Amino acid sequence: MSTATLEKSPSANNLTPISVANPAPAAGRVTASKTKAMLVGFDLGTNKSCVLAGPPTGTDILVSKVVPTVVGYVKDGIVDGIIAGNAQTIFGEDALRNMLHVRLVAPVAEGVIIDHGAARDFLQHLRGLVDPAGTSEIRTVIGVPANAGPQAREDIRRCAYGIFDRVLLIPEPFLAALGFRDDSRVSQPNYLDPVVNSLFVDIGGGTSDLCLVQGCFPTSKDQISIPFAGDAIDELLHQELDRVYPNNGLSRLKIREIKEAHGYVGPSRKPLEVKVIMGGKAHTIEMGDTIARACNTLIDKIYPALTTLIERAPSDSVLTLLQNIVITGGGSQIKGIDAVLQKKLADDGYEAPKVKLAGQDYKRYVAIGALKAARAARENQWQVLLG
Amino acid sequence: MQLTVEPVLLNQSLSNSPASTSAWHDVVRVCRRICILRERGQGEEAERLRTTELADLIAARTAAGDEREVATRLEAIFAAEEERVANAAVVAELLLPLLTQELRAGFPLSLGRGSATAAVHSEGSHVGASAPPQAQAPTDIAGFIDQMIAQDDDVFRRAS
Repeated sequence: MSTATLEKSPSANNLTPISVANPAPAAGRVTASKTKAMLVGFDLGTNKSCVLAGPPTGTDILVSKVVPTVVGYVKDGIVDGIIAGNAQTIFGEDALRNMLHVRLVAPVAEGVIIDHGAARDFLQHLRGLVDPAGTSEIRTVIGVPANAGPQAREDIRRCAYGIFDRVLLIPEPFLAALGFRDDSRVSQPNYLDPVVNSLFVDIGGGTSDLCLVQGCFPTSKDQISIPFAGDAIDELLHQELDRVYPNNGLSRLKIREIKEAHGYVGPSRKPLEVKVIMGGKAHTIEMGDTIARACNTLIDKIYPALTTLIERAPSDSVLTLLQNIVITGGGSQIKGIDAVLQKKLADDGYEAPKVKLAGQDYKRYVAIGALKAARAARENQWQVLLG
Repeated sequence: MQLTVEPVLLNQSLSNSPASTSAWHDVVRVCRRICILRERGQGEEAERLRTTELADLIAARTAAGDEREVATRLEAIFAAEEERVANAAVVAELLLPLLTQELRAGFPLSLGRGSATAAVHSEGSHVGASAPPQAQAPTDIAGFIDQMIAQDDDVFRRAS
């Protein structure tokens, strides 16, 4: 990823409503110079964001990036040349690599924007990835958590104002289903189209979103969002390690790495020895029970929501639905999560449930669905941000 | 809401000189603003206007005429303006949803949904406004988006 050279604009942290009569500098406003249109599917995740971009017609994807959702503001006094291009603001992997030299800001927590200035800087950066020359009209479909309320949506629009020309906010689990759908197989009689009848479990960093998708756009009753996901598991792991190894000095990023490498659910697996550096010395610690406790908490949280949605499904659809339970998002990489959920459902008497993992593209399904939606949206469905 | 009808001056027995008529027009305008503020629930601002601008105007009128007649005329003006503003509010309540739909149908910009950053659907009409959130299964992605917009509109209508 190239180093960003965007500087923080004076208006980046300005939260006052933007006047229509006095619009902000027109990064995203349609002007005569914008001769090209580009559509963007955008998954603004708590820890990682995915952006896909392509032309309005066809299926080409010209830009595909997964970027850690983090902004680094370079600290005062950093010697020239330490940060590439002497940038004042850097993003994603660049920011993480230079964490000693920057103030790291995560714009999103539990799926919603918590730092508007950083979020605007981040969106501006992503726009730059999609349209480096700044000459295209950019329309974007942005995924929002299943339970995103009016304020959360408003915050996204506020941050997108002046950066994207038109936007459409669509719940993430539905986009995940749309992204997961294999369009080439939709007409095949034996294909279980996830958009027609499925239950999506999208386990992200901040929230776990569950959604019934049954041929109509899901209503609020079809969706459940739980503020327990990858970050909460990290927190549990961190607490337990702090209890057993006080002053271990392990960063949250290191904890996340351990989870991503060793996370699993189900019965305790031992030995599970993990090598960590504490106080400059290598230690090998047994983490089988610790990881099991933290990760199994996720099962305890999402299973009741899963059964709640299954029971809300119409009775004549439920048998097919049980064959099409899909886990996606970073949480789908926790070993055994599909098998454990499937076994719990079977043990509770649900008829021949089948829980499957979305697969290796789990980071991109929401953005893929968003780009599909962007290409299918009619002109009158796009939203214009007036400020 | 901005009212554009001409003020009606009551009790014309008081001085009808051009200067006096103009001064009573000012009283009527201030009374109307007070009534509008009360209608909007901005009681404090209405009271501030009553005790400052209106009080000054009435003091000038009282100095130029009979105090009791001024009070009677003021009472009549308030009664007329209160009724006018109340009627206007009812009309606005009835017209607003219709205008919103009309604007959506034929104009690129609709109302801002009470949002600080007004987000509006761009052009043409969508099935939204009166469509139930759960209509028949759509056949394409745009149909899903129509359903989503209809749901959003429904939530907005309930909230407003």
